[in-house]
Amino acid sequence: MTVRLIVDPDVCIGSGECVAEDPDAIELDDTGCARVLIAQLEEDRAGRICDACPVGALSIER
Amino acid sequence: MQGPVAVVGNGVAGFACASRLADNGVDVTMIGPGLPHDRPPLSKRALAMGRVPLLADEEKLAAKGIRHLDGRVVDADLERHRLTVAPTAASDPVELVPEAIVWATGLNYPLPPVAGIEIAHENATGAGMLELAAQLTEDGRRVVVIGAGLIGTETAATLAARHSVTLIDMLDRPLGRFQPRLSDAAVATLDGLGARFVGGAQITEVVGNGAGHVVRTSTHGDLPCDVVVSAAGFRTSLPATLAPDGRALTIDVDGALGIPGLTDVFACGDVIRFPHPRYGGIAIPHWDNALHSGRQAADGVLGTGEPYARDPYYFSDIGPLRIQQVGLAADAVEWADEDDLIIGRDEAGDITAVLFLNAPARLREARELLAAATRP
Repeated sequence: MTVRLIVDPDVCIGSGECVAEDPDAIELDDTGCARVLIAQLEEDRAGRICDACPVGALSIER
Repeated sequence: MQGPVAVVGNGVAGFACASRLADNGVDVTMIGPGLPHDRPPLSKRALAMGRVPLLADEEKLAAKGIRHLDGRVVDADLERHRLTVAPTAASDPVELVPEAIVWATGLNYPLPPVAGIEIAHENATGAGMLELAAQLTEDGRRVVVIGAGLIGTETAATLAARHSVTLIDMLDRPLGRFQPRLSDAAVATLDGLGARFVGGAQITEVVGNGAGHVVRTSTHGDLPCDVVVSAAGFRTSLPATLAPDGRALTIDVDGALGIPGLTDVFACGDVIRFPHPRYGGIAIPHWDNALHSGRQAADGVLGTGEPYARDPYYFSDIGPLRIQQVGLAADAVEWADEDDLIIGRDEAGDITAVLFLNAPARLREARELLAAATRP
């Protein structure tokens, strides 16, 4: 099953932990905010990226 | 421990600590002015939107079970665990006698000792950032930013998108205390953004009048402007009981982040110097250390967890330039470019710091390189 990864830009502090976890799936934009690169991700993979965020700026939409 | 526990400070470290304690069912009171927020709130988005990046609002605090005492600790007897808090709302002081105390008040960012500097704004506190943003609603303002460390350089780069910015420092280059490659990159980035850098400058006074302000220097003449932003240095926030000479920025803590000589008093975030297994006593006044030491201090209170051994990591966005570094640059005696990573080695030839620019995907690899050298 695939899911969507959602970034809350008000919460993201640009620590880069999500990009370190999976640079193919997510990047940092010019303002240092996370931006999802792949629209649909395997749930496990999305979950690992979510867990890497130290501030809970990422969530999963089923 | 069931508490009550008082966490003094409501920035990243204080909030991380209070959250972890509340998650473990501890009765916790977080003391600090206003809602918990990220400091310094210099992110481009925060300044561009004129909104303080809150870590939690009242609703989230209530849901987490964190009690928030909006005010400042004005007197602390740490041996007797007695705290006196002056509430932000004008009312009588409140006394607390918690079972444990966690000190997490971060750094203060005072104005430099320059005549007339009182008209300057700062971008290191929530209130300061809001006042600054209110001065910058119209495009094309002439802004002088004093101090080209990380906060000043980030602020200058952010403001350069919409305003005419001059960044001024007593050193010859922006980020002049950092690795030269960082300084080079900052020079190029500021140039690309159209921000002017004035280095080697001595400011004599700041003059304000109705038509605008003037930053006077003995080296570069007068710099007329509409807005002055001060980002020149920081000072301790520790009370006299923890920093008797009023100058030490940090307090030494043990591996559990406890303060030696006191019972059940801990500290975390920018105020600590902790015993890192490789680097010895280090202070890392950055976001990552605030978060992780905050959580660790909660573990210290709970009597759980391993000794704190987080490898240093910081990140910074100077406009479009993303800087990331793991490890400790101060220990590096030589630097080499290796596959787009800038690697610093210590006297023994071991990797002590890895710096990388505009390459966020390399963070994990950089950490692994450092860890391999640190814990062979």
